[in-house]
Amino acid sequence: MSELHVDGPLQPGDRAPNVVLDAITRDGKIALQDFRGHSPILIGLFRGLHCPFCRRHIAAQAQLDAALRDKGIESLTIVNTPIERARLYFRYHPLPNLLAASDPERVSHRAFGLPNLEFTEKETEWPRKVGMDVVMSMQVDIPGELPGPMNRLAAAEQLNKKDGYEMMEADQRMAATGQGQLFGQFLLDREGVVRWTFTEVPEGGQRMFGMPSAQELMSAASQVAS
Amino acid sequence: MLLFTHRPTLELDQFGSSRISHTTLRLLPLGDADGQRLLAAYFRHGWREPPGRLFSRILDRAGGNPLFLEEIIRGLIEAGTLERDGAQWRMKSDKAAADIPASIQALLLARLDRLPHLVRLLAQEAAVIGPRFDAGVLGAATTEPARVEAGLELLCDAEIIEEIAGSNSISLRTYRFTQTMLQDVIYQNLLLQRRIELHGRIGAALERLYGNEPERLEDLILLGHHFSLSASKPKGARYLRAAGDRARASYANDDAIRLYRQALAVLLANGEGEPERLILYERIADLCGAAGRRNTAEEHYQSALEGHRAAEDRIGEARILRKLGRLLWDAGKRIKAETHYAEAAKLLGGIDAPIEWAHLLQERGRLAFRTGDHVAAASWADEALGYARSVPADADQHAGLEAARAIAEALNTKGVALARVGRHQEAVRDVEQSVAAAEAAGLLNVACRGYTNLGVLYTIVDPAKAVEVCRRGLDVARRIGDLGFQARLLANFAVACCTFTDRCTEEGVPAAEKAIEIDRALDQREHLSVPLIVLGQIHQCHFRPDLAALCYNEAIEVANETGEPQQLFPCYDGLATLSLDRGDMPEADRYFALAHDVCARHGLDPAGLIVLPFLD
Repeated sequence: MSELHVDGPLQPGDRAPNVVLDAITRDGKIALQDFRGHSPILIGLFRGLHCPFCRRHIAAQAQLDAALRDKGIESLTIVNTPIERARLYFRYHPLPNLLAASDPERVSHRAFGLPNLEFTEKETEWPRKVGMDVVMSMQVDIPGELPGPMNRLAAAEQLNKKDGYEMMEADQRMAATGQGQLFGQFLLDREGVVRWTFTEVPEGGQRMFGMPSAQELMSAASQVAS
Repeated sequence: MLLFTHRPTLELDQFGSSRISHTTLRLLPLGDADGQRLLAAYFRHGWREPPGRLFSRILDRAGGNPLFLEEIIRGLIEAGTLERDGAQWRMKSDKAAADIPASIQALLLARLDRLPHLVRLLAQEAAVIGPRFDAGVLGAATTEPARVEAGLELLCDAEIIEEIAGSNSISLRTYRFTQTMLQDVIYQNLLLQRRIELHGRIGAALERLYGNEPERLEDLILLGHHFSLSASKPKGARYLRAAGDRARASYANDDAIRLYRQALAVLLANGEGEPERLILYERIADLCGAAGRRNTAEEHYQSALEGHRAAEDRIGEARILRKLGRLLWDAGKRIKAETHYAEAAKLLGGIDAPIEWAHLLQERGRLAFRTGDHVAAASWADEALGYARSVPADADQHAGLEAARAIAEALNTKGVALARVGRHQEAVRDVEQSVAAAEAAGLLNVACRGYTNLGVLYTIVDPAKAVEVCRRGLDVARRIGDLGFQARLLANFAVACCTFTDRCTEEGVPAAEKAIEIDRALDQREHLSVPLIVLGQIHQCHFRPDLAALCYNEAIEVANETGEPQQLFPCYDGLATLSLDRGDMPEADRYFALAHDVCARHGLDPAGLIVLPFLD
């Protein structure tokens, strides 16, 4: 457990590291240290803008921005996309008042302890490595299509898929490009101490691609603001 | 020892003698395996082509009687249906074994002719009821009710019928003809006029026994069957339609269509029953439309439309035009759909028809929403609600249900329109009210539309609930056999899966693929681009840019037909971000500009479309 804590994402009570990144939505740099002593801040560490579902998360976080601002809380969106590309994206998708920073090297993700998941053949050491055997053993359930949860092979047979979509190949490619970066949201208080987190790390991957409800986030925000 | 065979007969006394003893051995019908062996022996030289289901048809028809079996084969050879081809046999027509050979007919009729006159009449009456019949129905329909019990006993002794459900009370017993051919031959040899008269008597007897609104669907179908073959054909058609309505209410849509078609055939053969015929055209069209058989639906709506026009029924005409408009929109023909709605509105001008007005305004609002005019959509929906709510609470059952349908649909349209103009809480409230209203009225397909939207709207309020609502909706859509909503819910389920869970590949991809398959099969042009976009997004998320681009490009082609902004935007945005990943900035810029234009033209917020995609 202690090792997981050292390796794993920051927990409430931990002091957030200082990270300096290129600002996307304005010129110059953004340093987390600049917020210390001024205001609490919600930091969303996302994957690249390539993922439409991540873009949905980013837009959803942005919609909470006004409510957070009412409580005196800033928010910062960090993406793995290189600065020029990210700037073009945000030029067409302006998030009013929201700060966004580019971090193609994933420095901040590492600093906050969000692992870049490695896909292996058999070795699983969550949250650093996950074996394809584990990925393959995850139960599949498609309401109306399958009679109930079953393993992938059985499901594939049942679905009798025609267009030759191969899961293995997809995952291996994902592994090859090292795109197992997990994402997370961290709420820091005025002193730069983590007060609330939501990451994909806990529960052995069951929360991958998960998202906290707006209610949970806002309730944590109220605590930090008070 | 003397051994001899004879047919079942009533006069066994002639064998009785005090000087000889006799034993009767009853020959049981041939079992299927023995029948097959007998047939195989007849055709031992083999077949040029496999005879398909010929053997089982012959065995069914012969009912285990080896003589009949042989006679049926002989009849088929005589009719030229079966012929020798060298040493082997060949079947020339697939309709073999449908007729009863004349030799057997004579044989069977001879058995009937040996019966006393009154018993023969009873057998005829029973044969008109069907291959199996209740003694109670026969008793109520016969001209000689006092003789039924004795007559049935005689028929059993002569082995023309047999009892299948015994009871001490004669009226609760059920019988069947020992040979289905026997019932058939007796029935076919009745004069047409007598058949018509008997069907009428049986229908009237069934009405006396079960009332004119029987509880069991089978009784309703029986009433329809007998009256359809009696002199009161329109009455038969009405019963068949009622049976169809009953089947439709339990979402047995195929049965409902079959019963409606039977009713329609009865009326068409009779050349009358205009208002009833128009109802049937419309109901068949409604069901075919929901099952994706758009051409059949359109044909039937057109027939109904002509009828309403001829009868100068403007409300009926407007209603059919509205439904045709909806069908056209489903096929992606927006302008034609709008024309139909406008024509319907013109017809309704100055007419007090609150329910039809409510439906029409709601449909126009829905179309306005899908074409990106959200303010107009909300206002049409409000007007629709006004009309629907003006229907008095004590209206008849049908009017009440239609008002409830209009209210539930209009609340949904209003909700999604409000979501697009940023009034999120009101949107969720309205769509939730829509689902509640639809569920309360038992309108499950309307509820499905609500589930589809709640699955999206709950996104930023409660992600777990979004996934759960999609699942619940899918269950309902499957139960009511509505493929259109299955595609919608599967697509939104895939979005929810990929946004909130790690089951993107396991559940999201197959759901999106299934939705594409359904949309293609049903030719749902107004929706097909949605699952294509979702699949494209999954490919993009999983670093398969080429596949993603293919999906987006196909989706653009389809979405251009309807020009729907909430479908065009994600295509352009997807292609833009794909270019971004490649580092092709000018191309990214071009696509972003196109996406931006779509939003600017309709006054839409791009972030709103990303967070709340695909509302309907």
